Amino acid sequence: MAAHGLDGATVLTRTLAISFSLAAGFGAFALFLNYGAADGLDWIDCLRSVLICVSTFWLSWGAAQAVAGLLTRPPLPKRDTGPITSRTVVLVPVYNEDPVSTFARVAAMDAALQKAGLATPFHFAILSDTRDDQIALREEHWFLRLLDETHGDGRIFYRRRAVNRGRKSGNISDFITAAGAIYDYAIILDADSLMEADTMIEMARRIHAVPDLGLLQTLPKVINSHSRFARMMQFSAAFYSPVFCRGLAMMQGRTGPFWGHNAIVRVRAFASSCGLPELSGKPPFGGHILSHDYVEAALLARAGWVVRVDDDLEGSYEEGPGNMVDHAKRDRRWCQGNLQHARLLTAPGLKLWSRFVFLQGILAYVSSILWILFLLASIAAPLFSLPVDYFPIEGWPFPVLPPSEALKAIALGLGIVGLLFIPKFLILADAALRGRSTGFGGAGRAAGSVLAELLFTSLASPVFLMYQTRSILQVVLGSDGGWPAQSRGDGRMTLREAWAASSWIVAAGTLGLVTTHLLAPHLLLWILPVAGPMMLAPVIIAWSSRAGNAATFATPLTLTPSALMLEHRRILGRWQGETSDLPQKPGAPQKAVAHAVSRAG
Amino acid sequence: MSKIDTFMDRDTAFEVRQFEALQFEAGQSAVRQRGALPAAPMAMPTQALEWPQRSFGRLLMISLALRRRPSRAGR
Repeated sequence: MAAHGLDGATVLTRTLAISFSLAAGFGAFALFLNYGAADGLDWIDCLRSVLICVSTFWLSWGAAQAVAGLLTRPPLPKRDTGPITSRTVVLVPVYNEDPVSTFARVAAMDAALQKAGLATPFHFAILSDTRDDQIALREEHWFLRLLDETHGDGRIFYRRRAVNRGRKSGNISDFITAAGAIYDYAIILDADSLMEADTMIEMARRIHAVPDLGLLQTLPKVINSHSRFARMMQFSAAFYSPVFCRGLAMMQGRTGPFWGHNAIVRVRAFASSCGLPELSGKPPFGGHILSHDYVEAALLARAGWVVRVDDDLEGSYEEGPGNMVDHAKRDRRWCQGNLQHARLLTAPGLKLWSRFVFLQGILAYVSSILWILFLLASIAAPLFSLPVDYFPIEGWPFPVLPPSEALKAIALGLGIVGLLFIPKFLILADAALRGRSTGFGGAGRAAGSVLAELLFTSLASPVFLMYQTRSILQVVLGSDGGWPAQSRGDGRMTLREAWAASSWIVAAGTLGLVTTHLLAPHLLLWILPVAGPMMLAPVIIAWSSRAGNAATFATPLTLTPSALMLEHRRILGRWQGETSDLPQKPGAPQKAVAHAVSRAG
Repeated sequence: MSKIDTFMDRDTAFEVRQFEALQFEAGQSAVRQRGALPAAPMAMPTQALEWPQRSFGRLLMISLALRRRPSRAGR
């Protein structure tokens, strides 16, 4: 396949974004070095300047992406309105999930396709990697029920792997090697994904219209969130993410992202380019590739296929973790996967942008360590600084005070906070001006949600900073996080549970504050916004896991759920209300049946 | 709890397991029959993501050989 160059707009956007981020990073470096040099430059000032340089670069990169998303618009994708002549399979990998909920999603999506009159070209394949026999038993039961209800024989399939080699990517590749040749395209979903029929049809048309398009990613919206934390994440994904995604789409060129689900792939391209090897050595850095999606996107691009995210595609949904601890658990897995990509930075033949994407993923986690190191170095700095010479001029009777550089430190601090906050305010202003805020309950309500989100993330960030730091240390020290099943459900936590999950963060925050008081009391006010939330971690975690009110964090889909979402809820409610499901554990009613069966036999 | 109760409980637990095994087999065969994926094999070759170790060795040998080569500048 012939490789094509990048278009001018992509090159310009990438250049501007990287230049801005580098300028901000080195600006922060110079400012901090200047600040540190006021009382004599020492090695710890240099270290802190380097740390703030990399951290500011990373924050600026995020801000640049948002600005790019606000100021630019990627060219409209090629459209095809003709009849569907291709065959698409919708893959639903499951791993110890609740089958009632997952299979109800399949039933709802199939019903939507049937309603659109396009059930024939779309098949569903539920690919089970479930290890728990009780859950597998329920999967069998609910699969047969799904077939009966949808009349899905010959269109909806189910298989369970005997050995789950290669985890999720192995599950998909097992399907492709066994049955992939029938299909032109595969829509890859997660167990908690839901997708409108129109979106599936449009994706199949778009990929069909561009022969060298290997993968088309959508931006999934988070739905069905109930707790305060989950609703906040849902709001962020609906309000900010489309703008960030548009910025990303503007910079992607032919090397867009794959986020592992809610995307369509050209089966032939995927099969020929994405067979993943096991990396040499042991986990966490060797073995199976954990975050396979980024690697698959890079491999498709390496083979000359286009990988694209279309930010205009609506009707693609997923669910999120219900509380901060579940979020941290998922993040632990992502952390290991992203850090493992360090092994692939120099992999043969990859596009430069793919390598940069790996680097971004690594930086997303390493930046936590950099901030922690910066804070620790700042607390420890007085121990290493040289004593100030107030009488540098021989014979001069009056002391010479070093110039105060506090203003520079304050300016730097405000600049860093600005990089975090300003993009969000710009997105709010843009939403109000363009009328997008109407879907979020109006400009006033959207502004309230943005302020609440900023307040909450300010409190939650130090807690996540600690979880991420622990994850990185675990990975670096060689601890493999394994493949835990996703926690789903409302995720409500008691204060006791939250304490059990975060007491070490409370201890670290207290220790940090006491050490600052002893070593660098002038930094207390700077450290308090970090150490304070750490000390309150159990309260923040428990409080945010409770159900939120409907007024804050409203999104278009919470105000007006789509017909597909309502259909899923209806089927799920009906199925959950039935008693025919097999119990998860042998219980009294089951015993009675067992007796009846055995006596009759 | 009396010995009889314990025995009954064990007995029941065994029957439950037996029943579930039967159900499982029955379910599996029905699922195999109705949910079987169509067989349509497709090759998925494993991609290379690491440089072969030999390449590094070769690169090292070449760079060492180049270093050992006498400079022509002095001639």
